[in-house]
Amino acid sequence: MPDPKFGVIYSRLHPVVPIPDFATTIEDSGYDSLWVTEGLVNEMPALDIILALGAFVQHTQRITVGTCVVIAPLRNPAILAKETATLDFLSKGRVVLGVGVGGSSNSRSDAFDVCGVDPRQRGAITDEMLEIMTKLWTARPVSHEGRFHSFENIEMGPAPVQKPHPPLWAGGEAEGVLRRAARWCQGFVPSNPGVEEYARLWGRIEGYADKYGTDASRITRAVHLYFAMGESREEARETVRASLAKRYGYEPYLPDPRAILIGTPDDCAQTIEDHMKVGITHFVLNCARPLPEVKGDYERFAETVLPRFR
Amino acid sequence: MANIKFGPLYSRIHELVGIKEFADTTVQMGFDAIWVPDTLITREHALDWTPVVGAFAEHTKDIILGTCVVVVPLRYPAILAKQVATIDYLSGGRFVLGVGAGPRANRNLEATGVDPRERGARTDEALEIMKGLWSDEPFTHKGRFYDFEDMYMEPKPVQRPGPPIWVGGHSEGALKRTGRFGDGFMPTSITAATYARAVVKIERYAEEFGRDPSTITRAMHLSFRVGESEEEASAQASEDMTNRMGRRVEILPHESAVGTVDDCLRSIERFLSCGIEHLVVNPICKRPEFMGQMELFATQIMPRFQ
Repeated sequence: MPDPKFGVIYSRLHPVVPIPDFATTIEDSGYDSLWVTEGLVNEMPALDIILALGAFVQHTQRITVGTCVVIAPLRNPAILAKETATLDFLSKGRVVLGVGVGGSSNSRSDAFDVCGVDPRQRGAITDEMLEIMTKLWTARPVSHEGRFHSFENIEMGPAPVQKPHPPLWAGGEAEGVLRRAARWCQGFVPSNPGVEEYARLWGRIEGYADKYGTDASRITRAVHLYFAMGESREEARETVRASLAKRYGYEPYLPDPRAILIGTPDDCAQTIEDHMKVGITHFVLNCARPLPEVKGDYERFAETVLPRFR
Repeated sequence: MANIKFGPLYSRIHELVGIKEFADTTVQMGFDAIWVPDTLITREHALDWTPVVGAFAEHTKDIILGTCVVVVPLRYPAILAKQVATIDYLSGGRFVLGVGAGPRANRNLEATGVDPRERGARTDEALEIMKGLWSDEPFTHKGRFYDFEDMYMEPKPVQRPGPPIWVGGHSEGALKRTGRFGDGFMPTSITAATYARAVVKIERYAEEFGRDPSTITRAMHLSFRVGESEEEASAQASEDMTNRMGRRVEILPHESAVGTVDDCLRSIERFLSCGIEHLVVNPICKRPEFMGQMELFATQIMPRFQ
């Protein structure tokens, strides 16, 4: 099995770590990928995901850069396809587009409300988007007749650098995400599901792939994990809890300590090995410490844990 | 003469000149700004404006960065507001938002599923929403296309209350929009006489909306081509533009600056007599000639006005 890949999330860090500094630090530390999140309204300050990614493209040479995740139903498919193709051109083919449908059913729908999008349709909108984007990237000219969009003979250029197109990664764990991953995506990146649950989710994807006639073995198995280094799993878990509560303004749901990447270097290495047993090859770390400590924690991981997997 | 500002349009040459090289060259040549068009669906391949303006922000320090122009009705206003605030943040407050409703026959509208008849109304409502989301207070909006309560967006643009909004086009709707929302007026393919008449109308609209017309920057997008003579340069530019667009397009001397250096100087002076202070300059030529035309403009034309 090849060495697993490791990437980190840049989320709402702009007030404490500017993009050029973060980009250079992460690339020089030996990470494989760098990911940006998004937030639109009524939450902590966040930069636009496409522009932040664009800035990271300018300040990196080697690593993969991606969204983790862009809230697909709040974007127009033609525009997102064009933005992604442009990022792929500017990065010489280093872009991955992680797509999500936007929050769980109990989270607030402010971002949908401000865009006038019905959150109940977000899955259906996303399905059609993935179809349209894939077509605009790979076929020309393109006609489409769907529930939300219809057009004839649209040709978009330039085509992406990566062929057939930049990888689409499905973020989330809902049944619709699994179906979407099997049908349209080249990667799967759920958040903190735990090893057993990951295996179950993957089994579902394989089932859907059979149904759609796609090849599940070509889907990159990735995972997004809350991350914090500490004296012990218990201590790090408390750090994560307190930090996320402050960040989001409510008490976070925290999974089993073994489903997130916390503790000493040995603890972290053990968690990674456990996850590799279910075929995971790409780890996306989302440091849940207070913002000023995030960059340092990523550097510690790169020094103490990452070399064990090289 | 006042210090007139000039900036080239970066478009369609991405395979020949990269972002950083173009930024460095533009600054070295003494230009004041770089402008990027919105080219979602075009016959000639072009990059998307968003990552491109973002990239220019990373590779420049002092010059103005702008769009000429973003086709507003294609986009969710909140997403566009966030993107503009982000560019302003990344550039340290150097962004000018050039906006347009897009022409009626427009493949961009078709690709994004926007009814062409709604494009003006959508543009106006989007501008209202963006300004509201950039303000310091939670924003509530009830309009024809959008309806929401207490929305708060951060980070705010660095420039307060927001980046300057320059309105493109010179249809009646565009003039009214300029009077209502515009911090600048930036039409294209326009004669000096029409420009002068447009300014009078804008002033009247501005007063209707209780705004001071003297705060509206006069700008324009100017096609240019330095050549042997006005006739030759106009014909060549028209041919190149026709090939590019796949339909007949005329680059008329009175709506552009074409010909010898003296011809171009005279044309620009005519526009400046309308009070124009900022020119977006766009060489109409084959792609390999783009940088050469820019250099001619920078060395032989621009210094006369700076």
